[in-house]
Amino acid sequence: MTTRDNPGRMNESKPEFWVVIHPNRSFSGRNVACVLCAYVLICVCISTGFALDGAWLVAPFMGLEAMIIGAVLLYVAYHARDREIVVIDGDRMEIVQITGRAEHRVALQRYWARVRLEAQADDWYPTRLLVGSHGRWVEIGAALTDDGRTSLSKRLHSVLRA
Amino acid sequence: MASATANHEEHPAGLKRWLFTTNHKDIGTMYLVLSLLMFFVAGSFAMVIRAELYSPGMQIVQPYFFNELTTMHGLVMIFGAIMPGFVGFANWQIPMMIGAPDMALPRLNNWSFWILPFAFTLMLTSFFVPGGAPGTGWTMYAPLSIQAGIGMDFVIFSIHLLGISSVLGAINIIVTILNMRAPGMTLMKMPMFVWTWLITAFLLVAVMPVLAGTVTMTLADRHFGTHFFDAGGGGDPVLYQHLFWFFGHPEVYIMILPAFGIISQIIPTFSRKPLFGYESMVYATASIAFMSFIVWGHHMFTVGMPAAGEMFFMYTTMLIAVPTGVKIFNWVATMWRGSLTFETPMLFAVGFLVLFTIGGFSGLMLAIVPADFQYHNTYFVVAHFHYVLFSGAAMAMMGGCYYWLPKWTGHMYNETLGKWHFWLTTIFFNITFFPMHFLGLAGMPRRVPDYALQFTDLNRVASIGAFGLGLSQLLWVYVIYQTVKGGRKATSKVWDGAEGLEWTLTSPPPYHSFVTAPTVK
Repeated sequence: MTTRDNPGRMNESKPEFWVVIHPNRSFSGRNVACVLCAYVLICVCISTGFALDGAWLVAPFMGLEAMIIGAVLLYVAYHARDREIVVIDGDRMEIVQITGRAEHRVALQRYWARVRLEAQADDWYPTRLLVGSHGRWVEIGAALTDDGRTSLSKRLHSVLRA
Repeated sequence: MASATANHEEHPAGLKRWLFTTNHKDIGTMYLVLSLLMFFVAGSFAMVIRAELYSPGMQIVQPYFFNELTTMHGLVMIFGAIMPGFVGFANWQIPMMIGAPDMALPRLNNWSFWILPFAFTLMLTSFFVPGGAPGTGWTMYAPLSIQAGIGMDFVIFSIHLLGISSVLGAINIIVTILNMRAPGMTLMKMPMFVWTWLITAFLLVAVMPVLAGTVTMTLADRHFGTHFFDAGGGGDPVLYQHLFWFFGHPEVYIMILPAFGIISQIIPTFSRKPLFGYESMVYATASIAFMSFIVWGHHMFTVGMPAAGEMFFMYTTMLIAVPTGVKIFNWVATMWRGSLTFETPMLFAVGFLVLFTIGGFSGLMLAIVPADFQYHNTYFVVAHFHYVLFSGAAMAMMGGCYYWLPKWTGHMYNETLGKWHFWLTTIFFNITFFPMHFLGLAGMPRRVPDYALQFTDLNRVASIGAFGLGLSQLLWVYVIYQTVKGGRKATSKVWDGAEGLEWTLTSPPPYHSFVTAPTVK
């Protein structure tokens, strides 16, 4: 997972602070399609060959496995461009969350915005980073590790205080 | 501004840590421990086998129990020791080598591991059911497997579970390598260990469904009145062999390609030179994987296939020697004029190189159809595959263990004991398996509890070697235990010639490997 930001004020045309959070994806959707097609082709060849020889029971297992692999790779492709963009500029704070094809935007008043790092009892997911105000909270940084969330929380705190 | 703090160094402790962990290092450790345990379980079966074969005649066990031990030794070593062992290495190393914080699908990773203990419990329970474990050999050939007792059903179900675990593990490895490489880590910059595992994972997903289908057909023949492999009902037992070896030969490469990867990491480190011919190594690995799908017939030359088929399988099998030769050449060329030192991992790598090459040559002998008619089902085959799988796969794992143990534990192992372990293993391995070439050439069949008197001397030598080999592995366990418990602190870059992202992390590495993705230049 990586974050990119512009904490300084070097260029006035850019927002005062922004951070883009996205999981590290080194494989594009196009590559996923190529791998999946090649794999399905191999599965079809193997299972057809054996089915013609009478061993048709190989085919359901091949099909089942192809479906699992297909599901995993399509999931990866669907989320290839997932990201969260947090922008702080002037008196505004905006959070844009892109998940698959869905886009969710939340605008907050900078001076009312609060950052909360919540500890949870869940061992698999020990912390949540929440940003919000007036009882409306948005979770960000779910793709980061715990250390990453802590560090982002500190940076948001300092920028919002400034 | 409200905030809550959390202790980020904290992670689950006790039993819950191991049951519910999604951390690649914890899961890697569990795979390695299970592999070591299974290595000793299957090794103890081998000790009984060699004790029985110490003298002609029946001494210790009944003939059928001998067959059960032979079957279980093979199944547990392959599915319990070697495969999980390499998956353990993959879990530990791949995220660290590609600059990822963890595996791509951590929960799936947890499930992949926890299927295994249940699968092996089921498999080993077959010893205690009426009729005992199957005495079919690890190949479970029909029609014998169709006629075997209920233990066969236990083994079939355990193979299904093991297959599910392997496939899920392979999918995880594929997705991790393809999708979670650090920026700049292009495919052709990946360490060879990562490459070999990527190719191995594709092999696994391609052939595991074939095994699943095959054992399901066996199950259907046993209980549901089908006749896939039953000649009496119009089925074909030879079809079973085709199916099994279509899985079984790529399986051999599933067990050896990650070993090639480990050796490709160790040799450059202790030669203090980059790996010679990196790209040719990648292409050779891919070629070996592709060719593994078109050579299965060499396991069944004697079933009576047409001469054209025998010729095809003979030539394709001999062709595999070309990419394998490229690899051996590149390892030797890496060492050539290198600044060599011989710490324990390098000793195991050099031992691998020499002994695996012997196994490769005996493989070439077995590839020649007329010669194979003499060697088939003799101890020559047993010698061949132990030179490939013990001095190949197992010794590569031992070398890999010594190579990365300081990184994993944060402590240096005892070099003197490590060297003792290497020399005892190598010497006793050769005492055990080299005489088997001559036993096979002289006509001693494999999988027999009794033999003719003229084979006594060489069998005694082999048995003494086997006891020594078994005992010397206890030293390995002791060295690992000692290193885990303490010892001289290891630095981040444990070996001065080591290159790669894993050596930029502390020893032991942090709970999450790379919090921020490193950039590879």
